[in-house]
Amino acid sequence: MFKNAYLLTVLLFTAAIVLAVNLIGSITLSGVKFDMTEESLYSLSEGSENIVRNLEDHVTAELFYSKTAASKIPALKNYAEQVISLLKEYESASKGQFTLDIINPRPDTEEEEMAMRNGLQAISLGMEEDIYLGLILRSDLGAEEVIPVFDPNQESTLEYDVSKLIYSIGVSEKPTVGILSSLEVMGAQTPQNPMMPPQQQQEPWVFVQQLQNNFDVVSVDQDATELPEDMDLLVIIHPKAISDGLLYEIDQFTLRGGKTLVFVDANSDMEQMNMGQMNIQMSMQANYSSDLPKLMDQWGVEMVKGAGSASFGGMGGGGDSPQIVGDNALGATVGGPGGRTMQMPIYLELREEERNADEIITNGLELFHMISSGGLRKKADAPADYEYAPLLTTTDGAGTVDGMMVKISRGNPKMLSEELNKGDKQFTLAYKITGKFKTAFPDGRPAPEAEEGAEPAKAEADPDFIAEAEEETTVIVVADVDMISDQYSVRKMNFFGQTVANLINDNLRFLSNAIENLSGSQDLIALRSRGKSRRTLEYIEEIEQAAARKFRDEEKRLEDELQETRQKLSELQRGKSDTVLTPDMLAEIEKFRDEQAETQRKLRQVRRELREDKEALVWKVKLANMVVLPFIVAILGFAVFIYSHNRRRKLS
Amino acid sequence: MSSFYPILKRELKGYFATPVAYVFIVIFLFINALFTFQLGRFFEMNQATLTGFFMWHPWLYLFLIPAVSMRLWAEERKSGTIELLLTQPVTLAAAVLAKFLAAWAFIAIALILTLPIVFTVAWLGDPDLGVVFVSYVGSFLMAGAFLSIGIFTSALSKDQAVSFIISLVISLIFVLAGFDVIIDFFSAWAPEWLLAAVSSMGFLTHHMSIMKGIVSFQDVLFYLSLTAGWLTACGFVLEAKKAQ
Repeated sequence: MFKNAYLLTVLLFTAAIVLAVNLIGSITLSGVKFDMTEESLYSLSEGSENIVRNLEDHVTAELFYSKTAASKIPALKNYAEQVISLLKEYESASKGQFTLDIINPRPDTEEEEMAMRNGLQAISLGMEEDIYLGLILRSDLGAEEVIPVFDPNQESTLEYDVSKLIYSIGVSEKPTVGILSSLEVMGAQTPQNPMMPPQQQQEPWVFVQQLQNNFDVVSVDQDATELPEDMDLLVIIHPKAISDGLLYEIDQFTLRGGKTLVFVDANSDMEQMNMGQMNIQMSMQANYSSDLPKLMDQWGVEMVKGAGSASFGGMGGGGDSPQIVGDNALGATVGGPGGRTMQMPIYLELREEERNADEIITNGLELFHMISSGGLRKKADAPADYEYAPLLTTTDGAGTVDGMMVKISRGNPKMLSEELNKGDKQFTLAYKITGKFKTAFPDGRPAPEAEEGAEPAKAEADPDFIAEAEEETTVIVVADVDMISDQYSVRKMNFFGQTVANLINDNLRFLSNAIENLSGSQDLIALRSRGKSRRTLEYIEEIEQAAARKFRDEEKRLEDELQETRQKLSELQRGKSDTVLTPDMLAEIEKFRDEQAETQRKLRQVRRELREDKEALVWKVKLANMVVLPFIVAILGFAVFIYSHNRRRKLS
Repeated sequence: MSSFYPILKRELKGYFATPVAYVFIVIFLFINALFTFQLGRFFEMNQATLTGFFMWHPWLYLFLIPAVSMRLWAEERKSGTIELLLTQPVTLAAAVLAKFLAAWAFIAIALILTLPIVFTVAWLGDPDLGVVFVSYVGSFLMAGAFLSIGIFTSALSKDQAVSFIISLVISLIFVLAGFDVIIDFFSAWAPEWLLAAVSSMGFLTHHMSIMKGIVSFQDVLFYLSLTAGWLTACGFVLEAKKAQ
């Protein structure tokens, strides 16, 4: 009895030690973990950590997740778990400034009502319960931000979306965006020329109207001498002849951490259109390009320039003007003479392959149009410590043509196409550049331009002059201006007296992504999109797709055959009164019916055969794993057993 | 410790000298594949992951590992060889550890033989091999914990069937402790800290966490401490029985 009591005590003691070790472990080691997934799915990147760590107010995150209902849909459940573990990472990185509550909104509960009231979006999959997977952020100061639903298709930007929300809840004021443009993107607000007939009042470009929803948009005049105070971001559109004084201000703005987005162009359609009718000579001499060499030099990029194309090299323009990028593989379809359609190689239609999927700005976008765009090149002497991320590129079979060439051949894509056949380069159309930039004005503020006849004015020394940025900042340079014009980005429709602009491509999404991204903190800009954690059985999918293609082809072929018979039938019918059927018509009708039935039968057979392909594969895989492999082990075991049994018998 | 390796070797060899081991492996492989492809609806899910393979392991181990471990001490006691073993110049700890490691190695062999499923999935899609590797390690550690329970109950009784049943019951408690169906059921009245504490002692909790591809010290510590605890308990039981 004593023995048993002793044993019991010892066993209980052992159990207590195990429990204690785990308890201590859960307190001290809870954060020690290694994320072994290929895409580091469960780890926060540095930018997100900084954002959540630097929160000024305490933020409460309420994740509404219908766990009960979602448990029946594995793909959604997996994604929800990933979202939860990511949010928990924020919580543990925040040092107490960010707390997460997970709420399971069952139907007809207060929680569900709360979810609905806050604008969360239910996923209805025809089940008894709707599924919620959305987030509400509340700061102690009363600010509120919502992600209505976490869409598994947007997994690659999940971390960015959450970080952006956490960042923006900490920022109480709308960021200010300045727009400096030589085109009238803000609408016709400038005083009209008394010499010209009065123009119709112009509306701002659609992108400006969109920006005004989320930002304070201010206009910066081309001849301004200083930039507005408190400006967070400057958008420069088609810069022409900007004074050194203003360039200096922009330079200093970027060095102080201001973000800049620049649209230059080799040939702006918009400018050309504004010029209206001109005589041929004038239009040949006109220059519709823009550039920002002084600042772009400092950023280490330049427009692709050249002496013009071979065949037209000698003619006008040429020289040092920016070249237009064309790509025969990317030419958009335009209407040609006689109603025919043609590929216009300098109207670039960029798709997923031409955009950088790693960058938040371009990730998820699918279609861009760039019209007679310039090309950007990283300069040979570009500082090595700057980071250059191409956002949009051509294929590697692109070339350049001269502005003059384009003017001459306008409306004749064939000529351009032939010219570009030699193309063998890849051009970058938009660059994102990050670095600690240096000033383009090492001597400080430049002297104001002197008026004619007057004494050259002295430069005023700037007490706040910065020669080199202390913190990293980011600029984006895009080599086409037309892409953000209404003409090439939206289709305007009149809807009960209201003009509605529908996006025709992702051009404006690109612009708003860029502005949203740049107006955030540098931590936010640094976030990259993530690879997809969803992995499918690609081999099976390929088989299915191939089968579907084969079926469609077969269907088409059989349909064509049927069509032939149908045609014969109608030919026979032609010219005959429709009540009387001749014997050969009857025969043909009979034949048609037979063929129709035969076609249906054949199609069914094709479909069955294609399905059988996949089923056979599935069956083989199962057979190999469930039967063949265990069987081999069984045979092997039996052989070893017999062998050792015999040997033992011999020995004994 | 001089006789540690001989015991280890003898035990491991012992597995393959009888058909039992092969039967075990064949059943293990068959049920694994059956569960993965049929119950786990692998092709219908269209996911190139091995989640549907690893998720069944706790339930498989629940029945298969007690079957492996039940004879470990019970047999020695029934046939009387335990006296022989324990009179040899060998510490009790070494004997327990050697038997445990031999059985664990045997389970490892069975696990390695499931690799064709990984090859299959890698052929059909692009699984995250880091996650697969971590899951294997997690499954192996969990098997060790199951095994240590089985070895403990094997030392309790001369009767293998009794050992099997007790082992099954104890293992089941540890599996269910982390089963969210059970936790959800009790969540209506049990306080949250208690639920958290109970589920933190459950196999499923740690298994699920490792299956995601995250190696956390907490999970590893759980399995190792549990294994060490049960093996120690086994040693104490044998010590007590030896003295009787």
